[in-house]
Order: sequence, then C-alpha cells, then structure tokens
Amino acid sequence: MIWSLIFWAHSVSAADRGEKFLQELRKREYFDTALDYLEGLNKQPGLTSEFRNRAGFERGLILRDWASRQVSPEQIQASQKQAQKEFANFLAQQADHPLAGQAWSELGQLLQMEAKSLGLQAQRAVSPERKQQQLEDSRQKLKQAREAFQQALVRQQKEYEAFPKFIDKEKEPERFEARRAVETNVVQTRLNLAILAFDEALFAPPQDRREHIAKAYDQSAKIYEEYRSQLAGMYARLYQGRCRLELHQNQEALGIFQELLTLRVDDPAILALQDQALMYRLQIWNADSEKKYEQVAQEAQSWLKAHTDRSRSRAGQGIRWELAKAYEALARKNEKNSDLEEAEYQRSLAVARELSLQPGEFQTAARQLVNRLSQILHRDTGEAKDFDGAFAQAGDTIRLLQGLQDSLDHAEKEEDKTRLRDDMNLQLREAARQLQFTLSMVRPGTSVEQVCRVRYWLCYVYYLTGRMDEAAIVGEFLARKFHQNQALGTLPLDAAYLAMAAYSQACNAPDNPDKQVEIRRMISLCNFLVATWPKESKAEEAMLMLGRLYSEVDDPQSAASWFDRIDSASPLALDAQLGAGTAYWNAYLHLRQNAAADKVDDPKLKEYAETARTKLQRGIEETEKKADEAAPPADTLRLAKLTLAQIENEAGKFKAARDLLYGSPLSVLGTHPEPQPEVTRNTGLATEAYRQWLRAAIGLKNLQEAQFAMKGLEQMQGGTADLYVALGNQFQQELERVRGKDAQRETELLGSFEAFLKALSAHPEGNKFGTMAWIGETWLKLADAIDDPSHAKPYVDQAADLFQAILQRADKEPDFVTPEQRVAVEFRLVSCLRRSGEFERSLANCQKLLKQRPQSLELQMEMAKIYEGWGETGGPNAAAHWSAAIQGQDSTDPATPTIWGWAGITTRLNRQLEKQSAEKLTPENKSPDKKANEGLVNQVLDARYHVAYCRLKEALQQSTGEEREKTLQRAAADIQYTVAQRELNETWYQKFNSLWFQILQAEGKSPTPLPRTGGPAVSPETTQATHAATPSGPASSKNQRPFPISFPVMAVICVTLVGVFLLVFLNRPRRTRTRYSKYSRKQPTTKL
Amino acid sequence: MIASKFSRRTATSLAIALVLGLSLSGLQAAEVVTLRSDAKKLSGEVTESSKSGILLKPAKGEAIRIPADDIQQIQWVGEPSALRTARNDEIAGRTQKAFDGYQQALQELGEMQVNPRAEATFGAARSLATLALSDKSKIPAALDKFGEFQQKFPDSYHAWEVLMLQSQMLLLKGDTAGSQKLYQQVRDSGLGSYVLAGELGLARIALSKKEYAQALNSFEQVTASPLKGPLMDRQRQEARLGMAECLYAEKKFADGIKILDELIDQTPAENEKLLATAYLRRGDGYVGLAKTKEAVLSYLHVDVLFPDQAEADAEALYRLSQLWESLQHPERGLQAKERLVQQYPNSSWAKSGAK
Repeated sequence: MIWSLIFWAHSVSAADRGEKFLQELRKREYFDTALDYLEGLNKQPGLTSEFRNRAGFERGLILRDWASRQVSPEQIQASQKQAQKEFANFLAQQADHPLAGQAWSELGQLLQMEAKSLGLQAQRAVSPERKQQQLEDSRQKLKQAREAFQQALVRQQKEYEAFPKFIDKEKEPERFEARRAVETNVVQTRLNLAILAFDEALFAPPQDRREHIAKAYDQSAKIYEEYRSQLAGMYARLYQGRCRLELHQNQEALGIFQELLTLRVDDPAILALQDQALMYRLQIWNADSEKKYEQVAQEAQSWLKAHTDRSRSRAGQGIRWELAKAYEALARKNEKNSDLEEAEYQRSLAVARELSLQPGEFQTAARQLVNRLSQILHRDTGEAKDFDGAFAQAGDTIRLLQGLQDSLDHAEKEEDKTRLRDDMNLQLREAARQLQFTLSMVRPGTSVEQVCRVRYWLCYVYYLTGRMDEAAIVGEFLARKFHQNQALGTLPLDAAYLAMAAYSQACNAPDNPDKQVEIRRMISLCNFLVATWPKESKAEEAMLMLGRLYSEVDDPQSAASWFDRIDSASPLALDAQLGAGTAYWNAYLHLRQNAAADKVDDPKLKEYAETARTKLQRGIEETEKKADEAAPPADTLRLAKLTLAQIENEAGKFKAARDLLYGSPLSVLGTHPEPQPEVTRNTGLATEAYRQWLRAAIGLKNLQEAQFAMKGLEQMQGGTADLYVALGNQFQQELERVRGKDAQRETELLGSFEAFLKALSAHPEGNKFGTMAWIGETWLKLADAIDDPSHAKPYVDQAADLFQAILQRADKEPDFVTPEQRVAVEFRLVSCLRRSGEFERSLANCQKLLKQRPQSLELQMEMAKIYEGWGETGGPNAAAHWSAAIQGQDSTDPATPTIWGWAGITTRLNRQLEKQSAEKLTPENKSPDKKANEGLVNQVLDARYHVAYCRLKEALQQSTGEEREKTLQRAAADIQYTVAQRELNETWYQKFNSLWFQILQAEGKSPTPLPRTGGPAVSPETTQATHAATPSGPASSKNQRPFPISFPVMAVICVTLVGVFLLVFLNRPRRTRTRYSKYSRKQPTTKL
Repeated sequence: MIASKFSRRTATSLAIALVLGLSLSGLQAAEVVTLRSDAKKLSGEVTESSKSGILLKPAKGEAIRIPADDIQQIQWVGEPSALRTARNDEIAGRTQKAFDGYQQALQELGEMQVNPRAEATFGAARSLATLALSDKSKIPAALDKFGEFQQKFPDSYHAWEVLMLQSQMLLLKGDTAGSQKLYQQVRDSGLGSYVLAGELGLARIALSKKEYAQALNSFEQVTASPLKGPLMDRQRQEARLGMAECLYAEKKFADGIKILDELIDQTPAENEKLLATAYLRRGDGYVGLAKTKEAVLSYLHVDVLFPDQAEADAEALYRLSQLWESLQHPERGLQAKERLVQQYPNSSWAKSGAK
C-alpha cells in the first residue's frame, strides 16, 4: 500500500505532491511513514519552498495525531512532548509564518495537556515534596500554555480584523467561509483560555483557587453569551457548571447541567458534551449533601443501556464510576436488610471490576473499590490459582445468573423486570470475564468435559450480551469438535443450536453490512446439525431454519426441499408448509421486481405464485381440519392465511382474499370488524391484515368494509400521511405493474380506485380536511401511473378541484386548515395547474408562495418546472421561457422574489453537497447520513440534467446558426462536466447519454457514446431512486416526493384525519416480502 | 533401611554429587527420556547413544530403542540443577537467562560428564539461535556454538537437530545455498520425521526464493508421505499450511482457504497451536480476497478460542484492530488494540499496532 502511495506521489505535479502525499499518509494513519517522508524532504525535488518552510509544523501535527492514536500513556506523552518541540522550533524559525497562530494554539493545547497530566500525578503522589514539585511543574506548564494561547489569539484576531465587516455570502462564498473559519479559531482559543483558567484553579494553591475559578467563570460566561447556540458556547456553559461545582454551588451547577442535558441534538460533539454534563450531575447527586443514590443508579443504568458504544469514553467511564459508588452507598443504606445489602454490593463490585480493567482516570480508584468490596463480600480478592478453583467460581457466577434469569422469568411488575435485567447485564459482563479467566487456567490434563462446559457457558453469556460473532464461533467450535464426545451428552447439540441462533441474530443486526456471510455459515452449520443429529427435535427446527435461510437467499426449491423433510405429524408441519409457501412467494416477489426492472416477464413468475398458493392452501386445510373453531386461530395459521390473501389480492381474487381475512371464526381478523385483542397483540401481522382487507374491499367496491379496514389500520398504526401515501403508492404500483400488459386489468383497477375515491368523497368522512387532502393526493398518484398526459389529465383535474375546494372552504371557515396546511395545499394546486397546462395561473400562484418563502428549494424547483413546461408548448415566448427555466430571473425589488432557475438550483445544491462532504470529514462526525447524501446527489444530477435539457430545447428554438451552435456546445459541456465530476450509476449514465445523443444529432455530428469518467461513485441505492426516470426527457414529477413542500407539513395535514400511525408504512420497501421470520423468530430454547 | 532401597548406582551417584558439591535437587536415580510424539517420560539407563537414537534399558523389561527424532530431551543422571533450571527457563521463554544457565551448567560439569555436557552445549546453542531470531547479530555466535557441538559430540542424538538449527541460522543470514545443503542432509538422514522436516525446510527455502511451484511440490511430497506416526502427522499438517501459503503467493486465495478449511476440520481441538495458525492464515486468505468480514471472523476465532496461544493471539488482535473499523465497528478495533498493547506489550505486533 505504501508503495502505491509513493508511486502516486510521483505521478502528481511536483508543486503540490508533497502536501497531498503527506495528507494522504496522515489520513491513513501512517504516521511513522509520514515522519520519514518529512525527514527526507530535502532530497525531494520539485517541492515549493513554502512547503519546506512549514515542514516542522507538519511534523508537529503528525506527532499530535499519532499521540491521539496511541494507547500506552508513555507513548502518548513521548509523542506529545516531541510535537511540542516541533511547534516550538517552527515558531522560533518562522515567527511570522501565516500558520504561526495555529502553531501557538497547538503548542498551548499540548502544554495544557502536559500540565494536567502532571497535576493528576501530583494528586496521586505519596511524598509531600514530590507532590509539591509536580504541582509547581504543572503550574509552570499552565503558565506557558497561557502565553501560547495569548500569542495565538493576538494573531488570530489580527487575521480576523483584516476581513471587511460585511461579506456577501452569495457573491463571495469562499471569502465568507474563510472569515468564518478564522472566527471559529478565535472563539476556540478564547475557550481554551477559559478552560485553562479552570485548570489553573484546580492546581492552584488553596488561597488562590477561588480567584482563578471566578476568572474561568467570567471568561466562560462571555463566550456563552456570544455563542450560546454554537458548540464553543455550549462547552463554555459546561465549564460554568464545573466552576459552580468547584465552588460547591451544587444547585446552580445542577441547573446548568440540566440545561445542557435538555438540548435535543444528534451532533456527536454535543452528545459527548452531554455525557460530561451527565457525569457531573451524577457526581453531585452522589455527594453527601444530596445522597440521591437511587437516581444515580437509575440514570446511569439507562444511559449505559442506551449508549454502550460510548461507555468506554472518559465521560462513560466517569458515569460508570458514579454508578459503582451509588451502588456501594445503597448497600450501606440497606445494611439492615442483608439480602438487599449484598445485592447492592455485588452490583457495585461488578461495575467496579469492569472499570478496574480499563485504563483511564478511574482505573486506580475502581481497583481500590474492588478490593474493598471483595473483603466485605468475603470474596477472595485474587483470582483462583488453578482451573478447578476458577471453574468453581465460574459455576457460582453462572448459578447467580440462573437465579436472576429465574426471577426475571417470574417477575410480574415492570419495575422488577427492569431491575433484574439491569442486574443480569452487570453480572453477565463479570461472568464473561470470569469464564475467560477460567479458560486461561486450562493446563494439560484438565478435564475436557469441564473445559467444554465453561466454553458453553461463555457461548451463552456472549449470546446474552449481544456478542453474536463470539457466541457463534464458540458454539460452532463445540459442536464440530466435540460432537462425538459421549460424556458431554447434548452439550454439542445445544451449542450448535445456540450458534445458529447467534448467527441469526448477527445476520439481522441493523448494522450488518453483509448478511450473506452469516447465511453461508448458518447453511453450513445447519447441514452439519441435521447430518449429525438427524433424529433430534432440534434437527427439525434446524431444517425449518435452513429452509427459511434458503428462502432468504431466494432459492425456493432448496428451501422447499428442507421444509418437505419435516414429518407431516410434527408440530412444526404447518410452519414447514407455511415456510415453503412463503419461500415461493418471496421468490415470486423478487422475480417480479427484477422483471419490472428488466421489463421482461419471467416464465417462473406464474409457477412460483401457483406453488406458493398450493402449498399454503394445503397447509391451511390440514391445520383447519384439526383446529377448534371456538378458539382463535394460532398466529401461524393467521400468517399463512394472510400470505395467501396477499397472493389472492395480487391475482385480483378479492373475494377469496376477503374471506381469508374476515368473516369467519378462523379468518385472520375473525368476525368482528373492530380490532380484537387477540389479533392486535401482533401489531405487524394485524396491520398487514387490515391493509390487505382494505385492498380487497376496494376491489370488491365494498365501501363499508373499506371503512372498517381503514379504521382498523388507524387504530393499529396511528399513522398519518405515511399510511395514506403508502396506500396511494400501492395503487400506483399496481397500476404500473399491469400497464401495457393487461389492458382489461388496468381498466378494472382504475375503475375500482376511482369508484372508491368518489365514494369516499361523497361520504361524510370525505368532508374532513385530511380525507380531502389524501383523496387529492391519490388522484395525483393515479395520474402518475398513466403515461399518456392526455389520459392522466382528468385525474390531475380531479386533484386540482379537490385542492381548490379545500382552499375555498378555508376562505369561509378559517379554522378548517392551519396556515401551514394552507401553504401545502396551495403548493399542490400550483403543481396541478402546471400539469394541466395552466402555466399562467400556476406561475402567479407560485410567485405568491415564493414571496413568503424565497429560499424554498421546492418552490424554486416548481418555478423552473413551470417555465420548462411552458417552454415545451412552444409559441412566440418559448425562448424566453427556456431561458427563464435555465437562468431564472434576478430581482432587485424586495416585493418580487428572485427566481433561481435550474442553473441557480444546481449551484446551491452543489454547495450544500460540498458542505455535507466537508462535515463528513470532520472527526466528530462519525456517522454521516449516507441516505441524505445520496438524495442530495440525485437532486444535483437531476438539476444538472434539466439545465442541459433546457439548453438543448432553447437551442432548437434559436434562429441563428451561431447562437444555436453555442447553446448546443454549452449543453454538451454541461453534460461533460457532470460526467467528469462524478461517476454516474447506470441509470443516470443512460439518461445523460440519451440526451448527449440528441445534442450531437442537433449539432449534426455522428453519435458517439458519452465518455465514462468521473469522481466519487454514486452508490447502487441511487439507482433505485432514479429508476423510473425516462431516458428521453427530464425526470417527470411522478418521481418526486408526493408532497415536495416538505414531509412535516403533509404530516400536519393528515394528523387531523387519522391520529398517529406508526412509521412502518412509510419505510416499507417496494419489495413487499412477507417477513415470516419477523413474526415468528424464536429465541433459543436452550438454557444455561 | 532407606539406603538399602537405593540401587548401587544411585548410591554412587549420590556420593559423586556430594563430592562435587552438587545440590540434592539434581539428584536422580536414572535417566529420564521425554518423548516428542506423546510427551511420555521413560526412565532407565541409556546404554547406547548414536546419531540415529538411543537404547534405553528400563529397570524392568526389555531395552527400548528410541529414534533420535522422537527424543524431546534426556535428563541425565548427575546433571547439575543449573541445567534443569536452564531448561525450564528456555521453555518459559526466558531465553537469555536459559543461555546463561546452560553456560553456568557447563562450568559446573566435569569434563568426564560427557552426556550432560552435550546437553548443556546443545541447550546454549539452541538458546542463542532463538535469540538470533530477533537479533541477527547473534547468528555467528549461534553458528559457532553449533560448530563446537558438532566437533565435540559428533555422534550425539542431537546431531540432526543441530543441522536443522544451523540451516535455519544460515537461512536467516541469507545463505540459502548453505541452508539448502544442510536441509538436504537432514532429508537424507533416513530418520522418520527428520526426512519430512528436511523436505519442509527445503520447501520453506523455495518459498522464500519465490519458487512457488518447487515449494508446493515439496510441501505436497510431505503431505503424501506414507510415513506414519504422530510426529509425521504434525509435519503433514504443517505442510498443508505451507501449501496454502504457496497458493496465496500465486493469488489463489480460494484454493488456499479450501486447504485450510480441511485442515481445521481434521485437526483435533487440543492442537490449539496449529488451529490458531490455520485460522490466522485463513484470515489472510480472506483479506487477499477482500472479504473483510470473513477475515475478521477467522481472526476472531483465534482470539475467542485460543487466547493462550500468545503469539497467534497477538497477531489476531493486531489484524482485528486493523479490520474492525472497515466493518463499521471502530470501537471493537480500538478494544482489540488496547488489549494487544496491554496483554502483549513486547510483541512485535503491539509495536506495529502502536504505529
């Protein structure tokens, strides 16, 4: 890798290769190579003198970064010391270098860190002389740090003042950003000085402390006042709290920490700050003056459960330390109840033991606490000396866990369950450590069976603590290596089963990037399990699991072959039939999706759907023969019927679907139209059942049942726009599926949807705002599903009439809609008018809205579309319309909003994208929103496409050859620029390529394919987002979000209609697979 | 009473020990031979010793002929406690201390105590060779010591082992031709596992010279050898590891992984060292295939199942610390790094990891 870098370094231009190469090395954390490279810099030809001059500064940065990546305190300190030296040398040689301010600031921070480290060492020093000396050294370093920060501040302020007071952000974005960066540096240095004052207070002689704290408080207060909404301001606020804490003004401090904790943000940097605020709050609550130990325990436990990923940070360790102390205090508080007392001590010991094993500020104190508690609990403070001793201790811990598990199984009150779960979590971590220790005591001659037992316990503990990879590894090892060991009984089989469960959990983890790995492992292990223990009941469960796995990888034949091996008399027989049916159904859905994408019909489609139907019908019939009609059907039967109902609805057999879902004691929803408890307890199943019932009722034109189904859905989901948008999408997708293939079915579908919408409009329910808005939206969806604009127009007009009616009613009844709802409806009306070709009205209405929200991207896009659509109609003003669509219209009159046009929209979107990419690079931003980024990329590409498309159209309108040629060249250049800047996925490439051909044709050139070059790759997901776009024209509005004015506004509209629904429908993927496993996934039945 | 239970030979030994001022801890009644194949200890009197092996006459029963390649060590009657301590230090990895101990034992031993002297000289040479693995400046000293051994004890049962260690040192020094020559001699020894060990050595040399076809051929010869016995089985397993490495070198990662999968499947659970190495190499193969997740799972096997295999565990932790991040688990990478530095601070992997 290094060689490829070096090769690369030689291939770029000499002037900037040094800097780029170095940046790349630092980015990859090849710090030693970076230093070596700098060392030999003088030998490198072609480097600028500027870069050579700041080599020392670069060395300092590398060493600083290297220190932050090291683990051992000695290495960290050594690297930091060396970094200090580098910055100091750089400043001595290049005092007036533009980077001097930053170098001073870096030096100050390094000195401050060293001072703190010395101060902490002093606190631990035993000899008073040594303590005094270290404190004195610490103070000296702090003094030097202060001088460094002051030097930095002087330079940064000078730099800031060199900028003019006003910079137009729109006209000079780069300069504006440069000034903002300098301002950030100034604020950061001021904050550093305030924090330094606080550190000075911590290590100052007692008589001077108050003065230093007051100084730190004032400095922090000033920063907070000026920048309260920025990160620096919030940190300043935290230090105000810490100052209060140091002055024992606990209530004031608590107020400040509380204020910080109530901020609702997702920024990782602010979350880290909140963790610190929480740590200090717990510290106060644990103080003798407060004694709020229960609150500490509760809050710390909740935090730990929610933020395991941050539990090893400094604040995380601090929170755990406070938790250990709180448990210890609670034990003392319960000294009269020995059981309670011991339980609390054990909790404290478990937390402290874990903390004592992690390096950090709290490790020593935690170790001391472990020793103290071990004595109190009469535990041997040391570990066992041999395997037998360790095995016995591990056995005790496992028994303790079993006891907790048993209590948890029988606990009735939720608070008891929570407490027991918390206890389990604490003890599980301790158990894992103890079991690992026991295994480290294995020596030649140790009983193999005992070792296997310990490994099995460890496997289970890993499983319960969510460490699925580890659990699967240990379980599989036990199964494969010890299955022939008779003395172990069923342990290897249990271990195999547990490993399967662990793989399954790992596979379903939301952050799993590649599920195929687990699926392959599970298939292999399952085959082993079935081959090794063919007669065990777990083998049948494994066959079931294996069948489901093959189903997951869309291999229905293999899946069915495993399901078919399960005996028809087995209690798992229905599961097997259902599994086989579902496997074929999933495969059908998958094939259908692919067929839709490839626009071809796969002959297997029909076969899969039919096989799914047959298998499900057979399973249902056999189960119903044995079923008791008086008792509600089991979930398995309900699920089988629901899947079959989906199949029948798909086939247009609405009556059959309806009968499976409703009307008989053994139907999915039973005989009551209102949701019954035995149905609604399985929310996912019930929701899908109501959705399918609604679909069947619409197909049967049974408005009454459709209303029942809708009410059921509302009750189940509490969803709003999402639910109805999803229904609208479902109609649209159904129409798209049959479009061009089955004219009769298309007519039938349209007819049933129209009839339903009209009936709903005529119903009293249809007078409500939310219903009206949804009906309008659904008319638009139906229009989207029709290719021919003339055929779609009646539906757009229906929608427009409805939106118009809402506005008219709102004029008469002011309470009918909220202002936000009104804006949303007006916006939809603008779209409808545009799509109906009423450009003048549409333009006027859009301008009215734009006056209120001139920066709204959605409105600006709509405006560009209006001009573009208008341009398409031709006429004497066509050229002006095309020009307005591209360039927009400037306005100096505040009453007339500026129109950006597609070019202006592209610029702004690009800027947004760059900003997002830059944020992604910051160390604080650990989890950039990938989807948001992809959405933005698609918007940029779409806007760029419109620019090129409109230019082509503009050119075709132009009369003079020269003008026309120039415009066509610009259109071609737009596309070339897009392709050069960004690697396009296939869909986008084809779209741009098609336009490229049209431009070449217009230029009279022979068509050559658009060259494929590009920058950062567009991820495959974006393909889906652009899939429906036609290659010959701009993305039509049907590919946009149904309500582009913003989702929250739409949500507000529909709240009035249906209350609160779950978001499940919104997130529902297009591929509506029946997630059998989701409804019936089992926990492993094996116990410790 | 007690004295009557001693044999005449033991009494003599005790007397000699007392005369020579040896401690009583060094006292034993008979030679104890530890076997390499099954770690069994046999005691008796070594009545014959040559390059091909020894003849051990137990207190009861027939004399046993033990081939040189199956002798792990012999504790000789009358050997000083310093020799025993040095052996323990060497096993525990305290190599420099072991070397000093062997030297001390040589000083304590009389010129006539030929066998213990041979043992101590061999131990000192082997310790130097181990030290030379991490400090090349010690190679000449190690080679000298082996030369001294060959000169003084030309017929020792250690003779072939000495050739192999010499060969390793020459290879380390870069003298592949010299190393090759010695391995050929070992291969031609005709002694069971030494035949295979010689072939393995030649395969390793070919691998280091990037003669992959030749290396693969040698490794395959080892795996196909009809020789039977636990020692030979271990060498066959080692050869399969080597075959995988050859295939990797030719970018045939999937083929290499297949061999390792079979090896893992067939290796018993107690052979932890081999399993740990096989999982590590399997992980390397997946890295070669850019299948990071499979690689991580393979390395994780070592850390989860064989944490006592220190060198392998250190390597696994290093690899995990590098790979977890690309699976969106930077915190696990950091934990692996922390454990690497804490548990194996002196390992070369910890030093690489700190960079």
